[in-house]
Amino acid sequence: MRNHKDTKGTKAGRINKGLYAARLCALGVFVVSHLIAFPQPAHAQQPQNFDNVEIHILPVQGNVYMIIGAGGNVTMQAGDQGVLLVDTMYAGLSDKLLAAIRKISNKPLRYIIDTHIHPDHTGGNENLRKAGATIAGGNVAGNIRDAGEGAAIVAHENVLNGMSAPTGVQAPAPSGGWPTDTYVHGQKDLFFNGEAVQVIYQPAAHTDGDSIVFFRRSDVISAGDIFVTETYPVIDIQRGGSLDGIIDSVNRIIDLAVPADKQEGGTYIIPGHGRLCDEADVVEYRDMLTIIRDRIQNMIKKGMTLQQVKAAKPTSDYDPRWGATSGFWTTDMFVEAAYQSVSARK
Amino acid sequence: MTGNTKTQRHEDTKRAASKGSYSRPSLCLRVFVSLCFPLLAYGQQQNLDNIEIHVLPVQGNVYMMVGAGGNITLQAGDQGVLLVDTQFAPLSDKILAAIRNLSNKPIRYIINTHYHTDHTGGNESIAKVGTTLNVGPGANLQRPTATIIAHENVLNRMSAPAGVQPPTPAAAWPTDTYVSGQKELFFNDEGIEVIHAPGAHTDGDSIVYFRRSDVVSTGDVFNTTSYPYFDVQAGGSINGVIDALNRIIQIAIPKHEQEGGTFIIPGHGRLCDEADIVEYRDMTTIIRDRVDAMVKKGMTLDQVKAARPTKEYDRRYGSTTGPRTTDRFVEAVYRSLSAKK
Repeated sequence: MRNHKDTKGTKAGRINKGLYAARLCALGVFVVSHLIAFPQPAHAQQPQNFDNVEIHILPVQGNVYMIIGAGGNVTMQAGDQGVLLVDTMYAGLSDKLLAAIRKISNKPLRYIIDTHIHPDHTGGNENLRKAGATIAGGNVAGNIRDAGEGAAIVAHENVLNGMSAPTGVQAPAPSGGWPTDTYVHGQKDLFFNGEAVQVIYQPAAHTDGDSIVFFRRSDVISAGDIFVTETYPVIDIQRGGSLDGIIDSVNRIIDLAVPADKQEGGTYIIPGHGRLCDEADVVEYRDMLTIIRDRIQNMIKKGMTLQQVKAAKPTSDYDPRWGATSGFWTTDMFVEAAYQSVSARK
Repeated sequence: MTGNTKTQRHEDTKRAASKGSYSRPSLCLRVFVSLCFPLLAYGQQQNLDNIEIHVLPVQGNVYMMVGAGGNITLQAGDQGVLLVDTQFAPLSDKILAAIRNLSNKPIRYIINTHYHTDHTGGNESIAKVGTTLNVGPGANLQRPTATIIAHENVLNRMSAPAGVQPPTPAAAWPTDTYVSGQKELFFNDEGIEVIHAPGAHTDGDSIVYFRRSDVVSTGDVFNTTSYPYFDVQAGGSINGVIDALNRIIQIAIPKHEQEGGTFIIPGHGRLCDEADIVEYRDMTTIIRDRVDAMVKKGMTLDQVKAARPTKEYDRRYGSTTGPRTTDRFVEAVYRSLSAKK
């Protein structure tokens, strides 16, 4: 069972003028490296108290909006053809999420794209899918599910693999929430609401099934948990994540992003958790990760043990910004995961 | 940027008879066998007097301009005008008039897809009328003309080392070059990527991708009027052309049932979408594979020609007259493949 921190004290979201800061929700999932089993199916999860969670909507640019509540940020693209979501938060928030979507658009929900498998991003899959209606025609024939029933859920194949199980074995997640359209490598392209949408695979990053989503005309990238603004990134080693993969993915995002003027604006990036960003923010994050990775790498080359590495405090200059001593992902956990990840390299 | 010290030999103008030669704009009325003049007879004297410039709005901020020589792409908006390629020098007045019909804002950027004169001939006269945008590091506040962006090899082929007569006047040379990967700008509210396609039509090809407008300007790596032409003397190769076509296909995303979505402006010919370029890529790949198999079997050029590896495509892309004949194409593919290791 996934352990949740209780909600004491950290729920108050801070909303900056003109910007919504993501709530450092203590309900956030912590896919911690020593966590082994996928949690019980969403409906059997320890009930969370979502009563006090408010859903906030921030228009980003073009057709794209950012939706913040608890769990991972949701990206919404809305237009004449319907609504597309990237990630679906927790199952317990689905009603509020749907209500928020309906404030922007009353068109059918056509697509859900999952950036990765964790329940704070996929928990609402089943509920949201049922509330939707897939687009008829086109590639729908290849769906696993009945084409008429619900929205399509697009994700990398490893998300489906992680959520399902062979016949006769209890699946970790209810089949109603499984991806219906998967891809294996490279990217999957859609054209929706007047723009191309690219779902790009990022191997061995946060997990082994990460996708970033690039809305080409709106010029917005949804990064999933590869890029977060409030903590060091979670490296889910059990699920095939690695620090090098996260750094490669962040570099890919930087490659895609084009700033408008003096390194500001232009392509916007919606992180898995945290505030709206542009390329310069991602560059800062990439630099921090690369420097820490290089430091730990050097220490490993010198034969230092994990304890010695921790004592050497390879993250000390970044801790005030990204570090934590309590909560679901502490600095110690990050250093340990980074150490394991870098040591595991061939 | 003045001629740099690169020792790249610029093409001797005496080579006008061979493919890919480059002559000074003052000689541009002489026909270049390497260049395709879609509307005119391939005579010695090219009369540009009767050429009209036609403007086709594509999508977003982007327009296509067709006259003589390579297609021009124009992007217009609040910040000014950006052009991809500039056709021939004698057409500059007409081109400028056509631009003014769309926008009276300053011309800020010219991007050259490659160095051939049917794409760069108008550089000097058009850049002179423009005004660079003074932003970013390295902005030359003294330079009142439009910025000309291209791959470094375009500059190399247009210029010459000190003391040697350059093939083109310095005012026509690129002012901002890049060497590998891509160069990015953000102009008129969209990201613009200038992407290098190595060893394709020439050694200095760029593909220009307008991100929000969702239009790709390909330069001469793609055209709809003939077999792919690549300038072996200038570093072009058939495999590079195929890689470039695949790159464009990777960028392009169709809107519905393989139609629309990303539009593609070829170097010569009509406006296309992804399906058109896929067809062209398939044709090129099939012919390349056939000739490759023949080369591996040790066949001579004459034997390859006799085997007619392009037969079923000839009615669509082939030609027996003019500068780009089927025979020349087969020969170029043969040489390109025989030369590779």
